[in-house]
Amino acid sequence: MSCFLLDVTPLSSVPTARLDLRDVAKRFGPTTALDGVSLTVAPGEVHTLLGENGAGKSTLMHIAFGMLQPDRGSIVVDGVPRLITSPRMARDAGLGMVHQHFTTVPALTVAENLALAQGVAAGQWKRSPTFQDPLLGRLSDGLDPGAPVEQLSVGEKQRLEILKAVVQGQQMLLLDEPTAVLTPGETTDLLQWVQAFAAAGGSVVFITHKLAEARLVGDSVTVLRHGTVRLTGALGEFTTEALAQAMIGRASARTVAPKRPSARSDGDVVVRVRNLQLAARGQSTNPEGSGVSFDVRAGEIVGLVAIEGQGQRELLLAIAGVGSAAPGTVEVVGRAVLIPEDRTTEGIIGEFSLVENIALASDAAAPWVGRWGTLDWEALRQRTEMVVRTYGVQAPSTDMPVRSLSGGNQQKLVLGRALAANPSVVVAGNPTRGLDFQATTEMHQRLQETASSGVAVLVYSNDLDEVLALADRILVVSGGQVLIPDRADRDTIGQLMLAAERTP
Amino acid sequence: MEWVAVAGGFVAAAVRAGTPLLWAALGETLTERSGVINLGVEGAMLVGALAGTLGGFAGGPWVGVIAAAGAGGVASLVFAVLAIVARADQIITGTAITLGAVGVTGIVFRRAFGSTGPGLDLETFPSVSVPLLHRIPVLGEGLFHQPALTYLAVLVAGALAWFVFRTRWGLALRAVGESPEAARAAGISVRSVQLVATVVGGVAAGIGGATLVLAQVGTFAEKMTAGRGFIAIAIVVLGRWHPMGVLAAALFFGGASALQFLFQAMGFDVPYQLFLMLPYLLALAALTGVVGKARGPAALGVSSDEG
Amino acid sequence: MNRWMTVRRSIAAVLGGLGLLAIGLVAAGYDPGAAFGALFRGAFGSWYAFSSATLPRSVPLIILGLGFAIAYRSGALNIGGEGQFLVGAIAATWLGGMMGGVPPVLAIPIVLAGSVVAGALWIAIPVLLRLRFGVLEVISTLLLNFVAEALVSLMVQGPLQEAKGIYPQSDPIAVPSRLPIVGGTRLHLGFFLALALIGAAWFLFHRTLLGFRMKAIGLGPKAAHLVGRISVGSLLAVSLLVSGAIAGLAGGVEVTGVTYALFQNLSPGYGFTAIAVALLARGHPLGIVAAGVLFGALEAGAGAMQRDAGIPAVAVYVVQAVTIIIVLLADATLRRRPTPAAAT
Ligand SMILES: Nc1ncnc2c1ncn2[C@@H]1O[C@H](COP(=O)(O)OP(=O)(O)OP(=O)(O)O)[C@@H](O)[C@H]1O
Ligand SMILES: [Mg+2]
Repeated sequence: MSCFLLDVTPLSSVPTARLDLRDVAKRFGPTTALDGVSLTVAPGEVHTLLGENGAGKSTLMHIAFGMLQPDRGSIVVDGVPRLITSPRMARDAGLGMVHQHFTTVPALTVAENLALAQGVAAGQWKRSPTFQDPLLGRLSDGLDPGAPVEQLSVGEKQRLEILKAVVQGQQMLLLDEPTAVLTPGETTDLLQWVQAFAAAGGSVVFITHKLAEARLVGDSVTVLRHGTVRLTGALGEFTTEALAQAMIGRASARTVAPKRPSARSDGDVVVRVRNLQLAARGQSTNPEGSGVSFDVRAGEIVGLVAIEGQGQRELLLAIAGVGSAAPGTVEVVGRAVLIPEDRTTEGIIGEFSLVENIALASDAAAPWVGRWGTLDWEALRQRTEMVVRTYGVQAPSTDMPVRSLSGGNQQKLVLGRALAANPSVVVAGNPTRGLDFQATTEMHQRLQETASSGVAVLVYSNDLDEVLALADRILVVSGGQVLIPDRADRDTIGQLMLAAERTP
Repeated sequence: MEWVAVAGGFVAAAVRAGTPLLWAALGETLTERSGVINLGVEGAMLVGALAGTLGGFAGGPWVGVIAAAGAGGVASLVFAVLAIVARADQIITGTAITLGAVGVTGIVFRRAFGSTGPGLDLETFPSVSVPLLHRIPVLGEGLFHQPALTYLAVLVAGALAWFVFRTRWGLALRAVGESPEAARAAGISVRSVQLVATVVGGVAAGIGGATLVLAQVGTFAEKMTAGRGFIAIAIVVLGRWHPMGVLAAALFFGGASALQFLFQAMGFDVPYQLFLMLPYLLALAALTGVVGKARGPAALGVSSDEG
Repeated sequence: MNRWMTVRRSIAAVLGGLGLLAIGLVAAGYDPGAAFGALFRGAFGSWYAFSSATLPRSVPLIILGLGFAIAYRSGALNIGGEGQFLVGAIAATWLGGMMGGVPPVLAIPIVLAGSVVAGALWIAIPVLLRLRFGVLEVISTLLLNFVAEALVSLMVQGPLQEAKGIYPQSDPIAVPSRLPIVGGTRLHLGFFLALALIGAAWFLFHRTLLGFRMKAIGLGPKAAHLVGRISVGSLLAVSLLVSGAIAGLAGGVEVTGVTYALFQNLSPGYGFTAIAVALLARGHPLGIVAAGVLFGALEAGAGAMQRDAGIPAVAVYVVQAVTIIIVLLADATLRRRPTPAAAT
């Protein structure tokens, strides 16, 4: 009798997972990216996926979305096992994905990008660009279907990415670090949308490096480390400490570096900016308008924050003394060095060896440059070894291409190269972009030590939290102007960042 | 009355000289829209010219055109395998293909015709008049009394414009050329699109070479394309990667080549070498005026990583 | 990358090129044995063949190959070596004709300097177009080759035509402007000049800040600008100008050392063959010498092949094309090694 009872148990009483990844494994040559990972997402659930750089988060999502084929494991969508071998099949199965990097085509219009995602001609989108579904409507609000995507702001581009992912009614959304490029306000909007999407029955996998954000938006959590699941369950069950520990594999988890106890404000002025004219995106410098003026003192860390294209790049380059000079004056006492914003294309040359990358920062006066412009490679090698030792760059050899180092080690080399030149001013753009938790912490400590040793440090970062944690004082760059917030909290600064956008 | 004949003759010569360029440039437009720059288009034209000659002798002009299309396609397939599948540098691969085409056509040509050449008894395309239109004064005879391949090229230009801008395949093509990453994320096989665009582009270049032989010169000579493939690349830029712009630019260059005819007819005594230089100098001037204002596919010439 | 491996791959590439030529010849119904026999005899068959056919032909290839390599190192493609060679030759012919009575120690430097200046001026146009208007130097240098060809034709039928006015060629240049030759051969001073240039280039590339910076702007222009504080545009212009100047010199050396006169088809495509030379050597100066001599031998042998076996000399283009392709393929395969730190 009991057998029969079991048999008649209706299948529907077992809640079917929207997405069920089972025992997925993937290797790239010698690297094991995933080693038996399982992940289940129920309808209406926001599942956060955490892990350090290289933990395998993106790889797992690429497999679910058909962009990579797993070596082992299976994908079950709404109870049906699926063989997904292309993004198109994934979309048809009801999955949508927002990638870690933008996948819109800048030169094509909004309508064309949407059509591309659906695999249709763009004509239909040009005719009826509005949506019935209020969730989609919120995303498409204010997006001109005929505008080229390159003219959109970062926040609008991100909304278009999500719209592309769910435009065919997809209910399973994979979001790979969607907030990394957004301002605080845009982030809030996005998180609210994700919650609304889940409330309407949609499911989400949400990847982020920010624990606070995960807490805000997530129902459940999975932590990956070295390609295996280290922890999974409802988010409420775990302390932040426990999550961080699972991510980095050991205790000692502070999410941000502690404020320096003794920030000095009495050092000599080493950077004096006077009436510097900066060109913000979409504006030209107004010659009669007032430029930017401020000082930076030895021993302090000044944080710069801005949304995209407000003139901050010109400001950083002007202080570092590279690039075409903007009108106005910048006086620097001593030597200013630059840590460029984009490490991989601006900070290093990937094909060059460590030694050659050190050599890159040579001028005619460098000790290894001879009178006739000759190079002393032996002296350079010694210099490289000094940097590698002092700054803990982990590299098997100084002759290997820098491309094959991890991002964290590359950035240590960049920082070491800059500091070895005995600068009086360090100008750092996005010093921890793309770095994981541990590498970020180390970088922050280095910058703080540098300031404590009497060097003026300017830090620009897309990540407001990073600047809040590091800086002794904060300047907001907006519309080619520098604004000083009266209080150093997220809201005040977030408002100032958008000042120029509001009052055109 | 005299000037009417001269002007009419000039227009006819311009269209005639522009047609091979148009074919090659339309093909290259398709190729470049997919993000691939094929300097082997010169080689594809050259093998097309030879195949057109051989095919023309064997079975008449249309057989020649088909042979040329095939030969141009094969030359570009070799390019595509190297530059797209194996991801070798596109510029250098293209140069090598052109170099190889000079060698291969040299060998085959000598083998087929000895060192004396094929002579001039090749059957070429007759000019076909478009009813009524060819009676338009001055322009009519030039524009509407042309070989079939000319009309066909214009139709192809229109069809290509429709394809690139109105169909979902065209959208995919443009996406690949602008951002392979984004195209891949949309589920498009970047490599397949580039392969097809490059091979079809080579087919058109081959037909361009055949046009040179079967609708213009009437015979083959070593290195006879003389840089027309490279001019076609300039035409693509000048035409801003738009088939209709390319159509206009090809006519313009045809006109530049036909100036010699015009000047001779008008009795000016100018060294002919200056006319030889003119198309290349114009191409340079055109590039100067256009680049910066128009923008090519963003990923042009960049070997794409995967897929 | 292991240097010996690179050398082996280059040799394999050349063998591959020859192999494919053999297959092609068989397919076209020629006797490959006879063809290669003639090829070899023409290039290495005797001391005279080597010193008077192979080596003199390698001189323009070495110099032009070096010119290409210098621009290539900075990330620029100068495909216009052929044109710069021709205008260098025009300048040398013009100046060389006026050197009657001038002592050779003056005449030769003046004539060669003229060819250097001509080559630099010729490439100055693409440089200007690139810096001012963003026109890719690949296309502009290429297009100017055809202009230079027409210019040669214009010259030998116009201002520089021989006094008799019959053939489209110039009169021979004055004796003092001709390069000295090694007794009993046709090997001229230009060969040693080429070797000296190679030595200088090696020093520039490997031992100086300037040479290092050239490589930096080629591989990472943004980092070179921001970290190296290099003015990328200016350095690129300098590289291209030097590249063109060297190619012009090759034309001057050809006229003063080999032909003594200007005529059409002065170059059997040396400018393009030199690209293969530079690539085969992967831009390394010493490799350029080896590859230049090898391809000089092919050019020399090609003449014999056409004479003795009836195979068109252009067939060696096939060898060159296949060599380039195999080198490209080998390098492309290497590039595909996985990059461990490429976390996405
Ligand atoms: N296409 C690939 N080829 C080789 N190795 C790869 C490839 N893609 C990823 N990897 C490797 O697989 C591992 C996991 O990478 P993955 O991109 O999934 O990490 P992630 O968790 O998304 O990191 P991040 O936080 O930096 O985005 C890394 O070691 C990475 O180097
Ligand atoms: Mg990732």
